[in-house]
Amino acid sequence: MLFEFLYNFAGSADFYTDTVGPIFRSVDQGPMAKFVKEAWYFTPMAGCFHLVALSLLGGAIVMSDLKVIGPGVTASSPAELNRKMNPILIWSTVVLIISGILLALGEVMRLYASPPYWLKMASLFSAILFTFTTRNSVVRNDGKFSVVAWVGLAVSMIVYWASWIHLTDWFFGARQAFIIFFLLLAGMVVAPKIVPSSVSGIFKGLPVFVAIPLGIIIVGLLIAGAFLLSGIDYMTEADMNGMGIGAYFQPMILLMMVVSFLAGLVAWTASGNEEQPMSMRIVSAISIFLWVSTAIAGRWIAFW
Amino acid sequence: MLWMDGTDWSIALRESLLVWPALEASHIMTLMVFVGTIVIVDLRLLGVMFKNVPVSAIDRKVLPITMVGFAILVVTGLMLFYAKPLTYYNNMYFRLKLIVIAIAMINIVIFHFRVQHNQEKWDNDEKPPKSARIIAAISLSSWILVVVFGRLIAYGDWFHCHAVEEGGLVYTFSDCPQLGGH
Repeated sequence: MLFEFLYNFAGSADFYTDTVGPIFRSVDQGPMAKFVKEAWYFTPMAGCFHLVALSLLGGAIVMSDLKVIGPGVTASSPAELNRKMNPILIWSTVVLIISGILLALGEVMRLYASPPYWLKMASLFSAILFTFTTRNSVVRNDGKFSVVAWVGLAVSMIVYWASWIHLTDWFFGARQAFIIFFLLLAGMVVAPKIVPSSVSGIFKGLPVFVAIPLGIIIVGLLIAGAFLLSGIDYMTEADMNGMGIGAYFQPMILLMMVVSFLAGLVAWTASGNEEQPMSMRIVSAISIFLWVSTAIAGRWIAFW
Repeated sequence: MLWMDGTDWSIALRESLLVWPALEASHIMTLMVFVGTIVIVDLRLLGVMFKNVPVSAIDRKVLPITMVGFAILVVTGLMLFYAKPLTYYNNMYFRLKLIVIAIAMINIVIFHFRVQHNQEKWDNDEKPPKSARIIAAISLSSWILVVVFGRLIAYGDWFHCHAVEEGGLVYTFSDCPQLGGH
């Protein structure tokens, strides 16, 4: 029963039309949605709360997760930082969800038909589940995986990637943006094992106000190069989507992935190059990826 | 503004399929980094968080990220303005946002020259002196207002030139007569 529901939820068009559609329609015609649509000030106010909460969430993620894979406050251990940042993370998530629901009430049927919205929901679910099970557990236990951590990892990754495959065929360029970001983080995670100390030493010798901007410039140029290499104009959108997974074995796309990965190595080298256990680095990178993916998908709703 | 609005690059930027959304998304993503980290610095100065970490340690480790975030925000912000100069020029919230950014900048200058000069005396204090806490409170409020006004730019229609009383306060503040209410 549960399997059948999840299976349908993941991709059956009939299931959406027959089951999810009527729910959205009834909410859209309900008193709350009517109130939100009629109150001219309501949506902008909810939008402000949503963006402020997003900014605070970003700070919490940068402080606790970016510290593990790159720069951060080295005066505190990752576990201590995680503990201190958790209240900000929890409260900003709560405000994000409440303001998000209020925002959604103003355009229920548009969101129902919007793939970026569903990707955002899948991403948000995965991010919350992953952060408060896997990431918290692994960071607290100095990189060791508990049963809860494994379950959280498995469920969040299945939900996220199944949704990503199903929902991002609407825009190949956006798909590439996610992949570039994913490989950038992958580069940062494995950088301590790959970058020789003779190379990282050059950046280490520079003052932090020079090293970080320099690194950002190089990373920016590499990412721009990766986007150009991927050749968004190389084929039509329909051609790319028609090729399915085969599109990712095109030489230009493979080259784009390599360049994004290189950008990740540079980002780590320029950012203080702290080295935590590999498992901790991986979960922090996944946490950043899922939260940023939620934010990107959210922004993309406006453009779809 | 009219000249800028009509340049080839401005038109190409606002009509582009990928660059405009990517630019806007980058602006929002860097906002998360910039405001998120400056809030942490302000909370430390207010004596709310990281009480056992010296203020100088927070400055050294967090401020570079904040400054890089700010630099990217300015670059993406200027490009967004360049793409739609008339939309933003006459927008009341855009003007309010710029005013609050100016206040936040002056606040940083005051902190640097008036408050930070004896930082070694209170660097390890759980609760920094009142002057530092006032600066932090102004900073925190300013940047949150910047986010709020930034978000409200998208809803500027309420106070758009064609919707407000001609000759009124908002009309004059938004410089509507100058550009004929674009």
